[in-house]
Amino acid sequence: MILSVHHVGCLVPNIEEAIADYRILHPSGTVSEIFDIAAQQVKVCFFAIGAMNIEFVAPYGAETFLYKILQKTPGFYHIGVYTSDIKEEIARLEKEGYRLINQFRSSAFNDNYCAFLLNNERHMIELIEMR
Amino acid sequence: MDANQILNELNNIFRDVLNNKKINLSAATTAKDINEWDSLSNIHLVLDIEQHFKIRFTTPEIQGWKNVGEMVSNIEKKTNR
Repeated sequence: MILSVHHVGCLVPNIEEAIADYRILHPSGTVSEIFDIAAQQVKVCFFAIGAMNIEFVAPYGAETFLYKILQKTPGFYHIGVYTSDIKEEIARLEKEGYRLINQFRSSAFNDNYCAFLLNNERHMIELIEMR
Repeated sequence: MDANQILNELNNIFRDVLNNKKINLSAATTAKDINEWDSLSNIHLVLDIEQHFKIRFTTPEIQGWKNVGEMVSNIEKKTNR
């Protein structure tokens, strides 16, 4: 079951520069630590505006597909949602036509399981298990 | 459609999706041979392949391919039905 939206993911070339840019939008927005998600070859951090988080994602693996997407179309590219049971939610979404991209433990979420899925319209969703 | 035709068309799809004109697929090609072929690009490839050949893969099919040859064989079965 999907519980709530946690963030929207935004592809950026440089996290520090993205934070500086978004400080213009919201000077008192709070910023998390920067996490290195080695399994995804990205660095991420969260910029909170009220109850909403923007996840800045900076791919560092120059050969990864995400890095190529960044070069073509930086910006917002996925939505991250909390789920109480990631296995059950993956199964439900696959029945609805979503394709599982990968599943991994993320240090950005206390090593809880996360999973990325893509639907036929290429909308990407990140499930974050929060039991 | 035979396996060679499918392989040629797949090659074009891979080059387009992965934005790499140097790709030359063979039946033995695996994801380890192509830097840009990762879990995310794999799903983008699947969607483009499905659209191109007007077929639909199941999750076990996608997860079961060990190389391009098995992908071609899977497509061949579906397109020749």
